[in-house]
Amino acid sequence: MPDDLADVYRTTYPALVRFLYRKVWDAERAEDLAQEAFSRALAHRPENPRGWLFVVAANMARDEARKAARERRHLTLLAAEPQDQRPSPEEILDDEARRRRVREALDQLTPRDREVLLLWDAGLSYDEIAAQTGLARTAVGTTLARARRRLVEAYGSGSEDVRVAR
Amino acid sequence: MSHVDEGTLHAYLDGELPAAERAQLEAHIADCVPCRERLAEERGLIERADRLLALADLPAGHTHRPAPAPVESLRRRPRLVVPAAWAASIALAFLTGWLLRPTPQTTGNVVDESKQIAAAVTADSPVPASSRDAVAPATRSRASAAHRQPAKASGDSLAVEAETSVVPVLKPGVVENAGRPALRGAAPAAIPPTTIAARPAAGAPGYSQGQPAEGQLERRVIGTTWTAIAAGPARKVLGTDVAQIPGIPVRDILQNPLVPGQVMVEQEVAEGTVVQLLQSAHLDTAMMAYSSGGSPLQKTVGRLQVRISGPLAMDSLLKLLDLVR
Repeated sequence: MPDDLADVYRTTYPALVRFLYRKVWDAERAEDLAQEAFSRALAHRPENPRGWLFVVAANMARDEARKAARERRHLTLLAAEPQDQRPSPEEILDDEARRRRVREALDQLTPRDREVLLLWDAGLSYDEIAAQTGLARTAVGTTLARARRRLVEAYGSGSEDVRVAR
Repeated sequence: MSHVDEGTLHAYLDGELPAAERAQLEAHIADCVPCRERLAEERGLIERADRLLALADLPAGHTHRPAPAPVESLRRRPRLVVPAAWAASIALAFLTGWLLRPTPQTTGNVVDESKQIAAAVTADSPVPASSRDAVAPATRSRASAAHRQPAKASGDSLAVEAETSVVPVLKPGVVENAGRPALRGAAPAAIPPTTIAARPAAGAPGYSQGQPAEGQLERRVIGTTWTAIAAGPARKVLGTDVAQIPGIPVRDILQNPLVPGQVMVEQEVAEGTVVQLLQSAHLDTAMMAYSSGGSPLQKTVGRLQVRISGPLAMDSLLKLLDLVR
């Protein structure tokens, strides 16, 4: 592997971090996981490193999300305020607020739709996405169409102001 | 052709529709106003979705960490290597026993003798390099690169393949310490047992000034095994003196076996904090080899590429790096 893994690193690492970030929503954690995925690739030397990396990364992010969900349940019990506060107009212009809205919109997608959308956005081809998700290649386009529509609708229904800001 | 479904439209817009279908679709669209309008709608949808996803990108100013290489790699795995050595020794014991198995003519004495040999080999762990040579290559499926020493490569491979679940999180500033003085945070590597044994403790007094360990130190740097060399040969490789920071002990001088004229000096600033100076007879090869990481903990000073890593906080490391002139 090694030299081609170095190439894969150069071409794929930022996309992999972004992919993970949109799952764990913590940049440092996303880096941790991406690094770990690459270390595993160094050890395992998979035949198709790129696809392999995304599979491993997706699995790690899922484990991570389960853990986070458990922790969140505890926190929710402690939190007095409702979590779903409408952002103020100033916040809306804020990157962080918009990021959060996209995150909330993404959360409304089914796991499969979200996965396919994020994999496509990470630069994987339909073939790679099909191989990874078990979908037929012809179903990838349909899934992407649905995922995109739901994302846009979910984001749009969040707040009128945001739609203007967009 | 009936109206085009949205999945096909998206595949078309994504450039993922096979040629035959694409031609069909384009022919249909040319005549079908509703489908043309839908195509425009779907294009707008894709653009909006892409814009939304772009909003959910990493925070501005986020810098990616360097690879688990390029200068990966100093990771001790004694607990992985030792079992591999044991496996090899057990296999050798069986082999010895089989080779010395009693034939119908032999007496009980011969059997005893073979048992003794087998026991001696099994008890001897880590296995001598020669026995690993005999056993390990057979267990490898990967072809050994020509520049690697067989014993080294096989020990390395065993160690690597033995690893299934123990994976480090590589992060500048986090040191992995496997019972030895921590050397570097950003780095997994398989150092074969013989290499560990032959190496003096890093940072030990007297281990300095361009005298790398005798015992064939090698290090993997993005899949390439760098070999330790002495200062003299390194000067020959570079055609000039090997650059180093005065007053800091040189831990290793390593040579890139694949790129001619490339040498890396590792100096330990403090325990666990290492400065690496990549020096090249040709400036561009150095740039090429190291451009992939893009780490903030890396900078170029003249013809040198300097990287730093260690168990300190990022800003401390950055300050240290700043001191390097």
